[in-house]
Amino acid sequence: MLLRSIRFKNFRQYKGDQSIEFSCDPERNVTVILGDNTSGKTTIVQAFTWVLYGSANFSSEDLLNLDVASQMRVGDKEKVEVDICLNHDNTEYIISRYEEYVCTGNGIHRHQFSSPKLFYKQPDGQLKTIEKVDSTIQKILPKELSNYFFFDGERIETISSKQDVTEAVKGLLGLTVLSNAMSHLNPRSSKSVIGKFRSSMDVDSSRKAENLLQQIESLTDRREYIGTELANVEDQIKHYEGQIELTENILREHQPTAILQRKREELERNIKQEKTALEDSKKRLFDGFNRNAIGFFTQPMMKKALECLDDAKVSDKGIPDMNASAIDYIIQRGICICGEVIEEGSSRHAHLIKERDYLPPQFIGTVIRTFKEKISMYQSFSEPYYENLKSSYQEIIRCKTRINDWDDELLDICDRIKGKEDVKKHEENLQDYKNRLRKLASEKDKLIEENAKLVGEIERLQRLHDSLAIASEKNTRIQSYIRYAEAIYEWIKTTYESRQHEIRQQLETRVNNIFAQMYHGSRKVTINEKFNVTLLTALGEEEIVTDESRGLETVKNFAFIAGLVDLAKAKIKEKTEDLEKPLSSEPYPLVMDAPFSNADEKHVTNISRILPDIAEQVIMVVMAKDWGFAETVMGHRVGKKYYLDKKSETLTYIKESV
Amino acid sequence: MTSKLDASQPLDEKKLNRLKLDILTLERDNLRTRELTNDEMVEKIRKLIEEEVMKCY
Repeated sequence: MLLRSIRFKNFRQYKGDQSIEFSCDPERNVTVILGDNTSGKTTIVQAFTWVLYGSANFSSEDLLNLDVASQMRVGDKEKVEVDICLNHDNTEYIISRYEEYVCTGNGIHRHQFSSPKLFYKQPDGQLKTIEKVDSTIQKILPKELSNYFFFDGERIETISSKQDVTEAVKGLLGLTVLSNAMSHLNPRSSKSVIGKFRSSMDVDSSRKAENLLQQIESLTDRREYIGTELANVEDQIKHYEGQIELTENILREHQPTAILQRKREELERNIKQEKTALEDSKKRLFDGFNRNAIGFFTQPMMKKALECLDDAKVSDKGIPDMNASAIDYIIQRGICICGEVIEEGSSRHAHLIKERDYLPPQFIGTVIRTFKEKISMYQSFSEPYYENLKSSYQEIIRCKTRINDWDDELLDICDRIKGKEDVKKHEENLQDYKNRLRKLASEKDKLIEENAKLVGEIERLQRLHDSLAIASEKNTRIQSYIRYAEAIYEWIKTTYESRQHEIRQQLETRVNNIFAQMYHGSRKVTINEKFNVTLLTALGEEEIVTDESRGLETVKNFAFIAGLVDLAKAKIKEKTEDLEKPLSSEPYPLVMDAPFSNADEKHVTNISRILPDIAEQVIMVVMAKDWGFAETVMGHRVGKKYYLDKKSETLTYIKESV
Repeated sequence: MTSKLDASQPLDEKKLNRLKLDILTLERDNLRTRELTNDEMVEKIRKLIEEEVMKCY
């Protein structure tokens, strides 16, 4: 980056429009602005940071020129504006920022802030607005690095001993790029590129896919077995269908014989049943007979006895089932069964004697009556017995008759089918074939059903496997990404470590070289890991840290700044490899406010001799008294020279020296 | 067109160098502009790697 010009409008003491053009001539790359104390030297350096980053280090926030402000009336508006024109990467940019102030009854107030406006000059000279102002400014000159190129006296005094110098130096020399890249790739962080690649891997998928493949293979084997079984079953079905057809043809041809054979079987069956029935009837007959065998033989005799007794005189005067001995006993006892006393000669005694005459053995009519009654009762009991025996007997006769009839018929049928085909055997075979066919059909259905299920399951597992296979392919891909990311990380880490060490050493060497040219004593500069600079003084064989005067401090810091700029510039010239390009820095101008305020004549001379050789562009705002020493060695490198003509505390004019 | 990946294959040096350059350029640009957050940078680098590795020259 090279600064071409800066323009002020009512910016603090620079009333109206005033501007400075900076020398961009490589041979005369120094621009000197001379000014006394309070003439506005610091304002010029601060104006750069205000335009670029919107911040400046002034005691008052109001930037409007006080003369202009004092002339404003209520309602008046005035603008403070600063433009910077610069060249960067072969492009000319104009960066502009303004603030508007308004006068109210309560005084002058900042009315409007502006974001910076950024333009670039097209090849035809036309200006074109850039929308992304802040990011473009960051690209041109990152704010973090601006402190190293826009110095006021105070910063020059402290620059090499501040704690925050490490990151800035790393940034300037390209190490931050490496450390950020390491941080973003870091394999130990889950949020890094490598961490995210790892977390996106599906570690289980390969194992699952393998398991699924085994299942699919197993099911496919089963399917193949089922296919073979199905073919066997179909062959058997075909075979039995053929057999059935054949047998049915035979049976059709022997249908009359078959009818006779069926008739024969029916008769045989009937005869068998009838013989069973015959046996049952016989058993019933014998059992019935055995239950009352005596009765069977006495019954006809009792019937005969009754026929004989039909004509016998039967009296019903006697007391049934009583005999004369019972009466004799009562008479002998003298007391009737009713308790009355019976005395011989009494009416009771006479009555008993009379009753005795109607009783056996003196009178048989009663006995006959009783006998006939008993026979009648016996006969009434025996009637079903006879009926049962009769019925059983008749059944036996019927069974025998039927069996004889069927036997005759059977003999006739046997004669008729004698020598003919055994149709029954064919019928049995047919039935057997049909049963087998039914079983085979059922088996076939089951096999087809299982096969269909297997097809579905295999398809399902295959789909699952395919999805896992995709995940597995994805894993392979991710593993490849990780390998590249890890290789890049290792390369960056190695590069960073070697560069950090190398850069510190290079910087130390350069700073020492420059310091040796600036300082006329015999001290040495060391730079530690944090890029802090320390001066060592040789004492005998030892080197010790000693107190530093402000002048010496200034020289040391100039050496450090010059060393940094020199190293950065060297890195740009080194851009031989593509990979170095992102790590290289841009050339930057050194803009310094009162740089020599604490340096003595000798050191001012030395510093002034070296700076124009090291920096691309040097812009110094310096007191006239200091410039006198510098001019002797730097004068021939000055391309532009201005002086600040302070008219009052509120008005300074920038005038170019011829 | 994308290349077939094999974890046992050696890394392609051209791709590796191109990735190093792209990543460092991206880091340098973002260091200056601060346009992208850390997460966005991680995502962008991740995509850079994925795209470059899958390229078939």
